[in-house]
Amino acid sequence: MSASARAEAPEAPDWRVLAAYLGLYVLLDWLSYIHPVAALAITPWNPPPALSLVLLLRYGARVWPALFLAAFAAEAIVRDIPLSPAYAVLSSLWLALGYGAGVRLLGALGFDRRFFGLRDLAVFLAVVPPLTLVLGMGYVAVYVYAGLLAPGLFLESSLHFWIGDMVGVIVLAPLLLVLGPALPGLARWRPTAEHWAQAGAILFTLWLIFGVEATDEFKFFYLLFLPLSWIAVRQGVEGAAAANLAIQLGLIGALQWRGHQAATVQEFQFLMLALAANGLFLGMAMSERRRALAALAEREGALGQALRSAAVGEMTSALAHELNQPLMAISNYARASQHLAGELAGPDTLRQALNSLVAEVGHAGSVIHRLREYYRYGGLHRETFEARPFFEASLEPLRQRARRHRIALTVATDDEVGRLHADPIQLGIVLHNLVSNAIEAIADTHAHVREIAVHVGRPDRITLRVCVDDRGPGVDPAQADELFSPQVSGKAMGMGLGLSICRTLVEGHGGRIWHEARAGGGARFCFTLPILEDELGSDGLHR
Amino acid sequence: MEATVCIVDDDISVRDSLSLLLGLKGFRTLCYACAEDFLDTYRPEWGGCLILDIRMAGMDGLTLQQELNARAIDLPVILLTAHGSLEAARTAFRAGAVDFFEKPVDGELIIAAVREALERQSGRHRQRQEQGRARALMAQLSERERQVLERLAEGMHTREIGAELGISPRTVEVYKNRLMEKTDARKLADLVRLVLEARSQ
Repeated sequence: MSASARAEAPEAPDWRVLAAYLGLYVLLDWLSYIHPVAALAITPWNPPPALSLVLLLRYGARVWPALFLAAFAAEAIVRDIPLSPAYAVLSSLWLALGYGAGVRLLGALGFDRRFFGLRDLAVFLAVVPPLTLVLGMGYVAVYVYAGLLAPGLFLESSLHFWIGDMVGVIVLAPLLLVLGPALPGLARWRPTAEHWAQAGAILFTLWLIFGVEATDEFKFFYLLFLPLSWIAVRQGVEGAAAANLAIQLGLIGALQWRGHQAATVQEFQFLMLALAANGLFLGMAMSERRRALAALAEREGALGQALRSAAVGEMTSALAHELNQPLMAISNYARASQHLAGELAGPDTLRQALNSLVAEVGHAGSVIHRLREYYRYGGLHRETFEARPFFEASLEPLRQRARRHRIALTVATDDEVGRLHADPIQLGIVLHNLVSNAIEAIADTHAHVREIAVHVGRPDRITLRVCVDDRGPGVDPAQADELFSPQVSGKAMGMGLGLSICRTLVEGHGGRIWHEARAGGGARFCFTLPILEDELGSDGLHR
Repeated sequence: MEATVCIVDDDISVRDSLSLLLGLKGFRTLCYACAEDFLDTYRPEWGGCLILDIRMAGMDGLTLQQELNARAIDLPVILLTAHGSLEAARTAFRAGAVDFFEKPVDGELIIAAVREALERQSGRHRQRQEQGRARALMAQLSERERQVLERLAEGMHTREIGAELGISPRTVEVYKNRLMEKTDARKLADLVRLVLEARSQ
């Protein structure tokens, strides 16, 4: 299933959208109608197809008649060729259907029209050049057949068409794609000082290249990489796309102003292509990185909070245990004293005081009990999810941490592990704790086998079992019994409290956690979780 | 041996205070700091009950309870915990616990539970004695007498029994009288109870 098919089904376009498209298409065609070949739509810069491509991506292949209309209107209005309306119809039809097929191809290759990642950009840049080349050759063939172009000019004219449309699409379409979702907020957008500086840098560079007589325009063209890289790094793909368009406009303007020949404009357009692709890649990489960092920060924030709350819960639990023992003893001693007081036949007030003492101890006990219950069950937020992808995704950051200690973390997952109804953050804490302990156990040693093996399996119908094996020094047998008990005096996030938290969290999910000594050295920590019951039903296992 | 309340708890103050309180109330107590110590010193002739802490270093209280069941040691168990959980309580009661308390609990409640445990145990003790007597009596009977007794207990008539065993109803009647005499039974119901007791587990 392709990414574009996952995006919501395209809606039907409003008539105003179509009207705007037609108007803009013709306007852009008219504006960019420079250095035409034989008065045809063959120019070194041809941005209108970018509008067509984006319209198709947004509303689906069914809008192709609009493309045909736009192309035909442009032929009729911008280029006065009433001499061959039949050929204009033919060429316009060819372009409309061709872009329709191109969008289908993008979809098949998994292109997401939200233009979200490097993959989308790579697919886009791989499809557009051959697509525009094929379209150009078809378009030129129509007019060669019509006799408006000499057959000897076929290849040259195709090349002209190709560069113009290719650069037009690659410069304009990304901007339309990334700005589409941001359009409602655009009215409130205010440029900052940095934006002005960036715009100034582009203008200054263009002036340096084209305005100063002493500089060779071609040799100095690559200075444009500087402002573009600056913008891409700071503003991501949105900034890069906008800068590409600004540079393209400036470039065409400058070339027209200097009165360059069509051949020169074409050569500059090839340079523009390299520049635009570079800017987009850099910007996209920055945008991806920014998104990944934001997601990571959010995840770590949630994890940190959950970990803190788990630690508080564990401390409360440990404290409750430690306080309940002396409270119990106090209560017993009070009852015993009461008995002794009865023997002495002393004043009644003593017996009453002892009665109150017992009652107060009971009160203290219930306060502690409530506090403990609050922290034990307060933070459990269950969700339903597939176990296998969850564990694989959760282990990925740990794999990277293990790699830093030259430890290989291998994960084996049974095929059918089913779904869980559990708190993913709490399970993340458990997994994080167990694997971190394993990494720490190996990291400080000079062991040859630096390996941690995680196995996620389904030992029986209703149970999921996760085992973390390491070849570290293993657990001191003297400590084995105490592993999961809270160590009140231990370091806050140390082994003691960590495993104790794990036990609380796993048991809170109705599972079990334990430790086994591994034959041949090392430790194995396992925990189980119940598999979601209705999953069992839908598996047909009950039937 | 006199009924003894064995207290197994790894907290010395809890052990000491409980033993003082129970001692003052007239119970004989023995204290152990861990489950293993108790198992090492236990003698089968001991009667009484156990007060067990759940979370202890080494073998925990619930495991000790299971172990007692596995070894067929018939001592009623009261569980105490400073770390109560529904799951632990469920496990304890499934394994036949008399009661389950979260610390701190009023000693009066523990005493009541100990009384109940001891009653239950002596009840079981009496029941075991009855069973022993019934089995001993049954063992004294001849093969034919036992056949007649079992059929009587199932509610068969003299005639039916005679027909099934191939003897006359009259002879069955003779056996019946002899059985009443031997087992000291006054009425037929006493015979029926004897058979049921001997069969009970």
